[in-house]
Amino acid sequence: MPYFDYLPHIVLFTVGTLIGLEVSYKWHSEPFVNKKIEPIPLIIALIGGGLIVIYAPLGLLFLGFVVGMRPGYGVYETVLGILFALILWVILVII
Amino acid sequence: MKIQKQTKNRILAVLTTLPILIGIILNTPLVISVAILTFFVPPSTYYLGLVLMALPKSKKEEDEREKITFTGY
Amino acid sequence: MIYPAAGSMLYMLLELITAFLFGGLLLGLHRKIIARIQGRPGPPIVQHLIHTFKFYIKELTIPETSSMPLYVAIVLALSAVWVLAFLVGPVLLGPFSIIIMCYAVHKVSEHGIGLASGSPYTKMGSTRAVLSATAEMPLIVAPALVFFKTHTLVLSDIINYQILHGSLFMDLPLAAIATFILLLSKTPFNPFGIVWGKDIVSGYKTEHFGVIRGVMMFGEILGFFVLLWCFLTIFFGGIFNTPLTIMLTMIGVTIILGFICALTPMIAPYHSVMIQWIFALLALINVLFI
Repeated sequence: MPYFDYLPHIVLFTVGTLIGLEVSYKWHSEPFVNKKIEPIPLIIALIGGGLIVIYAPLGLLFLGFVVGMRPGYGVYETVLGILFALILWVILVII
Repeated sequence: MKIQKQTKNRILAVLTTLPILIGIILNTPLVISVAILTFFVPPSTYYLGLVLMALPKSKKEEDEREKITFTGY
Repeated sequence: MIYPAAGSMLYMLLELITAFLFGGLLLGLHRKIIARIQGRPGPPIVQHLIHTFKFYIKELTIPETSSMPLYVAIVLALSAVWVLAFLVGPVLLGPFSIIIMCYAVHKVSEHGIGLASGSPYTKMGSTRAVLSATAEMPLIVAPALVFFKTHTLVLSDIINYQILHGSLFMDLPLAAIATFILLLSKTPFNPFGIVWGKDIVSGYKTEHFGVIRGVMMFGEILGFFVLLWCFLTIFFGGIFNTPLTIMLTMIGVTIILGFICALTPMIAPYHSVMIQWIFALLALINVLFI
């Protein structure tokens, strides 16, 4: 089996991180402060986590958006998105 | 002189990318494919990079290049 | 979807692009982990790929002190070497000895890169490249032990052997550790990275920027992918033999490498070589278990 089966996953993830980086710098131009969970990235992360189980490349695009956000932002959202994906995977695939 | 360099780089970029494209179209045998990829992938990335490098990135930069800012010693 | 035939040009080109993107993301993850351990937010994971593409559109200036044809050609040779190693290794599952040769030639081209530009820092780096080439003993020891165990050096046969008899890690743990040290010495910011140490600015790549740095980074990303792949395939080939498992394990190994690189200081050149020799000698103890 070739590696480029996962080319869409990798490309869409990369594109997602690039978009996330650009957009989050538009959102936050102030100096970095420790902050709480934001609603929009959280929703995107949950969408990504949900889509990963259905169609992985598209899910990785959304998850990549949160992963690629400006350094320091989007950390909790990423973790929540991955956890959501895991829970969904356990419910849908294993049970 | 500068334009000539850019055309030279463009020609070399085409020349180094062409064997890879020909290989894809003609479906060359394994050994030849490996040889072509090994010899032509790095130079083609290099010359494509040189061509990309010389392109102006924005309108502003294009205007900057037209201006003569330094008249020399 | 039209599927390219195995071994065709398109197939190999697609594999090359995949490995490049994935390796770039791995190196970005590696940097991110180091930063997190050191208490910094760190760059985003795509940063290494962004760097590579950024260098492609940066102006290339060639120092007057450099010897011009070599300055460009040796960098192209470096990335060609890794392209060949990638095609022979992960794509075609060919002879492991060619990958070893590629690794050795890569050391030579590191030396050449250092010498080609006239800067004293790069010369220092290239001298250290020769010094650290003597520390590649694990590279000789590990394949020799693998050969005496499996009686073949062709990668597909090694994988088949491991599927039948279990992973070689169980038989050759010390050789695996020595190879891991070798892998560690190729990752950025590692304790053995005397060649590009910050005490000599950036080692052999101090004078290389612009497009030529982009080509160099392209080669290095492929090299990191190939070495990780070789380590996993030769010692854990029984467990990880599909692309998905190998890629997921690569992420895991990168995280471990990140922890090691973040928590260890840079070792002095002679100590670095000495420590790698110690691991190579430890690997020789494995001879007793064959």
